[in-house]
Amino acid sequence: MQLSKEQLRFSWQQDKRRQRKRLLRMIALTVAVFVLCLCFRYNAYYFSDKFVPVEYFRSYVLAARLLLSRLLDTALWHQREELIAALDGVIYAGALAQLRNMLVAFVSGAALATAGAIFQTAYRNPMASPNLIGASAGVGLGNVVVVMVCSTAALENVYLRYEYCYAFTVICVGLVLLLGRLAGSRDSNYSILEMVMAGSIVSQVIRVFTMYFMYNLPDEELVLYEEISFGVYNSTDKYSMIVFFSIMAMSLLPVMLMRYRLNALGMTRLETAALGLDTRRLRTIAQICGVLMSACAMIHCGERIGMVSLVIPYIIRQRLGLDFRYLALYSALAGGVLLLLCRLITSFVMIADAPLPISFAIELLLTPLFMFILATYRRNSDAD
Amino acid sequence: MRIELNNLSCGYDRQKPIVFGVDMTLNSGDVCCMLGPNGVGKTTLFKTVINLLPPLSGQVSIDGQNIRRWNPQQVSRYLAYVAQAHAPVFPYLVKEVAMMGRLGQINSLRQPSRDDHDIVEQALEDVGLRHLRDAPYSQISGGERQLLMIARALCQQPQLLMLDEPTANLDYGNMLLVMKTLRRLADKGMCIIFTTHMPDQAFMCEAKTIMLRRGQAALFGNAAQVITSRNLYEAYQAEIQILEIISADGIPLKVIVPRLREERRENNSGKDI
Repeated sequence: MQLSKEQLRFSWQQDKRRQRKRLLRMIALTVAVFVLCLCFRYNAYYFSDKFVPVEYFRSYVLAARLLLSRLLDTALWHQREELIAALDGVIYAGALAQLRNMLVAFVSGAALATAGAIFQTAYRNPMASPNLIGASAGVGLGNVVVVMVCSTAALENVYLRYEYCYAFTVICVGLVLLLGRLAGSRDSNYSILEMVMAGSIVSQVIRVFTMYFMYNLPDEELVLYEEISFGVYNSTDKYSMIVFFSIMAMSLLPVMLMRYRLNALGMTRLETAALGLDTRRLRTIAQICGVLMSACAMIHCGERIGMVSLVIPYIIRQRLGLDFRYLALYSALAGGVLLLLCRLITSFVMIADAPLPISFAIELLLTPLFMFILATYRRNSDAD
Repeated sequence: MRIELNNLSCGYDRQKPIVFGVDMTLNSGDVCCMLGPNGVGKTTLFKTVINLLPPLSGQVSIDGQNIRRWNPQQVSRYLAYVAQAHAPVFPYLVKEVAMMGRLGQINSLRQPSRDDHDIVEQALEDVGLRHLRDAPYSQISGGERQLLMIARALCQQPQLLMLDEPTANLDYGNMLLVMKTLRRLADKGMCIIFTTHMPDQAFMCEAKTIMLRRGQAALFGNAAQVITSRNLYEAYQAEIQILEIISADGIPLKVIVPRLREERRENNSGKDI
């Protein structure tokens, strides 16, 4: 029977309304958490007044005005020193550091969760993550090599650290993709099983090197390596910011734009070919973007924060839907919110006079949440 | 629309074609039933027809044009493939699965529009699944899943549907539901090719039949010409009888009955029973 225009319009509007409502709720939650985080002091454990919304927001407004005046070349820019001094230099610097810190945390969380969603859809497996094809192994080796080369000056040599980490990640993932392709069947470019096996073999080899180098590090450097990999430090210098946001834009934007098309990753080659798609290139692009964004997050926030990739898309799939259009969007927002909260916790808690690493905060927050979701979720019974 | 397979051979190795000698022509509104034992190359033939595999010889043409040089999107406007429904890894909603049929028709950077939504709704209505549009794919029955796969293919707005064992693992009720839907689509002008291991379905739909046999050229013709005991024996290496009966409402029917006993054929040395 031919559906009437009214019937079609009704269902279209109903679907649209439902999705808009969900999206607005998620955006509202994200904005609320972000604004809340911006009200707390940077490295709050050093200060008695931890919650300084008025002072910090005055600083943000001033920073925005100064930026605008610099762009438009107005007189305000030349009075910047007096204006900042009037506001209190420590407060102003702290507010900007907090803003940068929170932006990095939010984008990292968004990237990790999106990367998890990509790999779980492409591998048709809820346990898949970018680490499957060697993202974290490359970052780990890069970190240990830079500590070995620069000793305790590794933290200052951000340029060298990024160079090593990205280079090893590219080598590791390139090798996995090549191996997967060689092992793939005749009419498709790879099979999931071969890809996973190639990933675990290459990661293992890289890890052996990492372990060997770790074993040979003096105690002081080993501690530094552990601190970097656990995400104690968060580099927010200008150079790090440029590298971080450029790589995130290069990897996150294409995925977000192609998020409907990426649904095809979950289908067989025969099915997608009949739908009029050649998914070989799409699959490679999606995997490279996924690895790039999660490697970037791990380099800038600590390599042991990969759990976000696993848990956030899982929760979003259970609660908000599977269509990649929404899965990618909601996962990104939820992952961002989670890392914002974790970063906030780390700025409050110190253990033995050392700041709490962000990976600890993630594990502490996510494990009980994940256990709760697993325990309360009753898998939809299969009709077969 | 008219699709022609001319002396088509397909497979992966030119020296060892899996399927060869396929000569058939189908027009809009035709139903064609593809028979053949497991592993004889039915899926390989489908892959060749949708241009995923190059033919080893011969050609596939639509309205007189060889489709070999067509891009996937061009092919998808004519041909749609309906995969066997299976238990999903992730429980997508029915409307989401159907919307995936539009993947190839929408630019890679765009989201589905109002028109795409309308096409999906109409496809779900055409297979009678619109009332389940918000249900998870994992909670609908096997027959409904198969109908959903058909709806997804219809969202491509193709002119030919190729179905891979659409009635496998279905009970009689669901099997008839799927067959009725296919018949209805054919009556609307859709050309349909489906594979099955139940030759009765060819008689049920008054379908043309293509039979693939190991090591022999494919047979194509009307169901009554192709489905004979001898041909069934050659295809399946099993004794299968065709009984002609008159149903309770007076309609002559053909019934296919596989037999367990093998010795009778040996005694009759090749004579049809």
